Amino acid sequence: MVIFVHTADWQLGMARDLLDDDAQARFTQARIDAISRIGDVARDHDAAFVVVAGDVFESNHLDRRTVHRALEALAGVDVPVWLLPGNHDPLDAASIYESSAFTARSPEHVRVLRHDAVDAGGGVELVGVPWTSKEMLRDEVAHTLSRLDPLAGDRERIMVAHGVATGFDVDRHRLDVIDLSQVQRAVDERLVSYLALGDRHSTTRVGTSGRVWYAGAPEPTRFTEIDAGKVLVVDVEGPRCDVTPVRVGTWRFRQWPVDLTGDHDVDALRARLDGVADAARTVVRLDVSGVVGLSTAARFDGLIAEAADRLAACDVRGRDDRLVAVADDADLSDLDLGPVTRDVVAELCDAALGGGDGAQDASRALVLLHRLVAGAA
Amino acid sequence: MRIRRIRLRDFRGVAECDVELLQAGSETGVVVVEGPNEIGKTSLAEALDLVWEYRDSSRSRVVRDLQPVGRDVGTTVEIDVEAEGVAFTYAKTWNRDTSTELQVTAPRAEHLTGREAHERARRLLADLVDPGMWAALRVAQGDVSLPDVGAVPALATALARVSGTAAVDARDTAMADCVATERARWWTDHGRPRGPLTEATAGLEAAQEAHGRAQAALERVREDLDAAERLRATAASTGRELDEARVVQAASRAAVERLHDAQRVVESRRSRHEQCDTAAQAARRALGRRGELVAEHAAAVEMLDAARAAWDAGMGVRDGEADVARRQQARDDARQARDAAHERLRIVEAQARRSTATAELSGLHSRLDEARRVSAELRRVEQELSRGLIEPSDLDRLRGLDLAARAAQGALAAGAARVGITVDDDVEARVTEGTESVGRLDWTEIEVVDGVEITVPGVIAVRVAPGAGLAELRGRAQAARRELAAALAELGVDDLHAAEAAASRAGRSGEEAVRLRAARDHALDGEDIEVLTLRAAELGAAIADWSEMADDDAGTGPDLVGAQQAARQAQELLDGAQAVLDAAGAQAQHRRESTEELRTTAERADATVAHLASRLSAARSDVDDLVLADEAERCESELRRASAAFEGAREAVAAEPAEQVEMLAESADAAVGRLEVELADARRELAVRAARAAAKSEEGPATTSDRAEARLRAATSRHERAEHAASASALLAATFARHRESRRRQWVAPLADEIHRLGSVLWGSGFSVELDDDLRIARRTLDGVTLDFHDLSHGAREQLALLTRLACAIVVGPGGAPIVIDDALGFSDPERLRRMGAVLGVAGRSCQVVLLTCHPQRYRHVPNATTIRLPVGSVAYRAA
Repeated sequence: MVIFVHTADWQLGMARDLLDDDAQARFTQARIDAISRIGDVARDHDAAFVVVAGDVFESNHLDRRTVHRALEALAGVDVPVWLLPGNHDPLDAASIYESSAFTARSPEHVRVLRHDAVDAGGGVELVGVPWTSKEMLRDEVAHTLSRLDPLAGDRERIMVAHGVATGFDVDRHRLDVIDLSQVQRAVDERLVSYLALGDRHSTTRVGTSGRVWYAGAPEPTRFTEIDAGKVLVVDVEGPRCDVTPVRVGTWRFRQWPVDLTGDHDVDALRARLDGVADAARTVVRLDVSGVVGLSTAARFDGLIAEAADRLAACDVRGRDDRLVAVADDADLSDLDLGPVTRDVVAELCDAALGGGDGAQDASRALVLLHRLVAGAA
Repeated sequence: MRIRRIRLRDFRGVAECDVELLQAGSETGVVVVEGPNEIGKTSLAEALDLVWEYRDSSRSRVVRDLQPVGRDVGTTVEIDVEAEGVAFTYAKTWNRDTSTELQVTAPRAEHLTGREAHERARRLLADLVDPGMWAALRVAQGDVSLPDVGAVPALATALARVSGTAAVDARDTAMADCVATERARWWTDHGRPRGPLTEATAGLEAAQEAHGRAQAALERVREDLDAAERLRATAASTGRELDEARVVQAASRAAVERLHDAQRVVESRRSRHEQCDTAAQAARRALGRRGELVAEHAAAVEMLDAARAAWDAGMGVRDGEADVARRQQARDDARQARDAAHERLRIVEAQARRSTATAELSGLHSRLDEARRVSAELRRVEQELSRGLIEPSDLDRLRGLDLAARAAQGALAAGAARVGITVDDDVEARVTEGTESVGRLDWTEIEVVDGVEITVPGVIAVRVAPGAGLAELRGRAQAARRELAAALAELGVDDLHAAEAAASRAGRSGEEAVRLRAARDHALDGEDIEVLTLRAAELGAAIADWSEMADDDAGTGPDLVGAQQAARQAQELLDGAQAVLDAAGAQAQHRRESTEELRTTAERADATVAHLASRLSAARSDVDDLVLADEAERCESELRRASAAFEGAREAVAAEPAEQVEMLAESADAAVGRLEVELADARRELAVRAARAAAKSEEGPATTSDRAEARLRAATSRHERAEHAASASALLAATFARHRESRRRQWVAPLADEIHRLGSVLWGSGFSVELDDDLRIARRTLDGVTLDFHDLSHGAREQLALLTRLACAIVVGPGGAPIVIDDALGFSDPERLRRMGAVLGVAGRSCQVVLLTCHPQRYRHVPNATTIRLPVGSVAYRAA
């Protein structure tokens, strides 16, 4: 019997497009902090060790500070931590695991899983299937399985691998896809007790055996992830295999469609944004559309500016092309416009609503005019 | 507003002036107020302003200057004013007896004085007429500037009324300022980016550059990694190829080794065969040499026997010696006979030569005697020639000098004084010429050349001196004589006659010398005397010798031919005897030498036989002849076996494809070598690339790239926002400007149209103007040529300025102000004046036009104009 923590895709050193410098720093630190929380999970569940199924680092070419911070966090983990090189951090000539930054400060209990099977103690054998380059030209899992002998007695064999498996949306021309039928056969033949996979950032059970899982990323990284922010506590003993997801993530990626028709929509959006908890760790993406008056557009822009200050990031999609700002009756009545200005507004509104290349410029010009008039007022 | 009447009293130089500017019942029209200078026209125009502006109590200098010079009187202006529903008379007196009085008759009667009148009048004016328009419609003398009609609210109102378009709205103006300010944040006046947009662009470019560098660094690491991967695969495949190549190489080398072994066997057997061949050849040679030695010895014995027989047969050499002796005697006899014949021939030849020489010697002597005689005669003649020889040229020169001396002397004598003296016989008189005493006088006439002194001792001494001109003649005569004397001395003669005689003698002697030389040359016949003398001596000596040799007793007439024939015959006999002797000697010598040779041959054959016998004996003592033959047979047998073995091995090697085996082995070696190099190269390059990738990777290029990318995104976003804002500002400003311009054009159209209408009268249909924002004419176009207003001529500017005022007044209409023009159009040509008259007539139909001028002809083309003349002293005028 063995209890261990299965995690993957830490992607340490990852940078996100949407984050400004401050948010990026928090995001980076959160991924380091996740290591400590994973250590806590291991301790809480009496795990014998932690396996990280690939992509520990975002790249082999990170600065020393990122590596040092990761190793510092790893040093605080009480149990052995086995790191598998994935496609982001392969064991190539520039492997980060061979860098002086890593080798000089790597704690004793932090090991790198290479091709050789290793004895994790307690009758547990670890078989790593590391990536040796950014592109693998065969199913390395199947290849490794073909060289294994069936487990003897009550020993357990944990295979740690990284990559996309059959059954997921994948380019059929790829040669490195993990053949799950081969894995299932290996499980049936007791070649392996559990296959710890990495690559998918969403926690995912694979197949029907219950012994093949994608752990998912401990901290979310993008909007499309379904169930990220967890690690798996795996308890294996012969024919029994219990896998328990445990949340460790602190960040959220939220994506909302927003159709603006008037001030009330802006008010509703404000309420929703105000309701976001832990905003500093939440990235919101708004897919906006609609046609609004100048004053409404101004309110929306003001709301976004406020939200951007509060949230980790507020990404607005469609502001320039799907959200059209034109002067409505309220704008014209509220504002004391001269006849020439009214003519200008009318022309720009026609252009903004007419579509075409000049629509966005016209809409922006209207918003600007509104701001100038409001400012003058 | 209209000014119906104006009256001045004591206004500067105008004592009294009362002018009615509108016909009774008329509200518009043109009035031409004409008069000479200083009559008060300008004062009328000035008074129209002062009456409103200055209180009657004013002590302003302007007001004080209105007082006539030297008269302490008040200055009074009074005007009758009409407007829509309003009529009043306003009078003001300054400086003296000041007063202000306003009499309003409509809409309701009012009468005010003093300050109240002044204030009320100003309010009325402000209500009735736009002050700006009041000022704009006034034209002072020489004023060609455009009126500021843009600042005339009445015009703006009129334009809005006529065009149906509101005038520029203050809100729009404020907005235009805001839009312009916003645009100026992003763009320069020339449309180039500035401020935040420029900064955003610069920031974006810097971020792009930094990102490019970071990406390049990361890309270099990736390239190294890719290269390392490729090199690792290359090294692996090359290694496998190398293993395979080494297997092939080993097999090839084994085949080559086998081939070399077989070749070594061939070589070994070749060597054995050669050794046997050498031994067989040696045995054969030894056996042959033994046979040769035996045969040689036998031949030598045979030769010795023959030599001895021949030597014995060659002993008859003594007969030959006797024959030789006989032949020698015969030859000696023949030699004596020949010597005798030769002696006889020598004697005969000596006699013949002596005879010839004697005859020749006789001839020689004759020639020598003649030559010597002639030569002596010739020497004599030549001696004569050498003495006192005068050449014809010398003679000619002497003759010339003599003639010159005599001529000079003649001239002297001719110039000299002549003294005739008669002396008695008993008187002794002496004459001294110069310093030389000549002698006693015994002649009667003398020439005085050098001075003559005639002395009668004890009686008289008379000195006669030559004249002064005689000295030069005397000098010339003396010089001629000296020159003649020098030439005579040079030629060695005393005088000219001697010279002529000498010259004659020289001619004759020369001819004689020629003759004598010819005789001498004939005698010598081209030779000289010494040679002939020597030859005569030699002939004499030879004759003496020959005389000794000649046998004078041999008879007369020696037979030289016979002696010579006898001598030849004797020589032939001698030669024959010598030939016979030589033949006999040679034969005897041959016999001697043959005998000696036979003897020597016999001796040599004997020695050879002995030597060969010795050698044969020695050889046989070493190896017997039979043993030698057996050894030769054994070697031949060995050679046959070795040859067979060698041929067998050679055929076996020849059957192997040796060249192919070698080539395959060489090819295998080359392949292994090449693959080893390739593998080493790949591993070395792999090590380099891997090391470089690892080293560069530790610098964190991905982190750097991520940061650069983040900065690039931020910069891109900033730039995009800036661009959007800048574009929006530009679009807004352009749209605003376009609409403003459109509105302005619409609003200003009535004024522009009116100017165009009036201007077309003046310049034709090709005329148009462009008004600026202040409603001033910015440009004029005439027949397609557009010029800025300031570039127009003085006259054109004045005309356009007047047109603008007229158009303004027409557009504003009755609510406007009168146009008062003081002496304008001074720069217009007659045709333009004519047309301007029509224009003023048109304007006069819509408004009040007052033309003040001292040139009434300028306005005579104004239709329906009322003319008022202001003669000096006039007091009141009515519009006619």
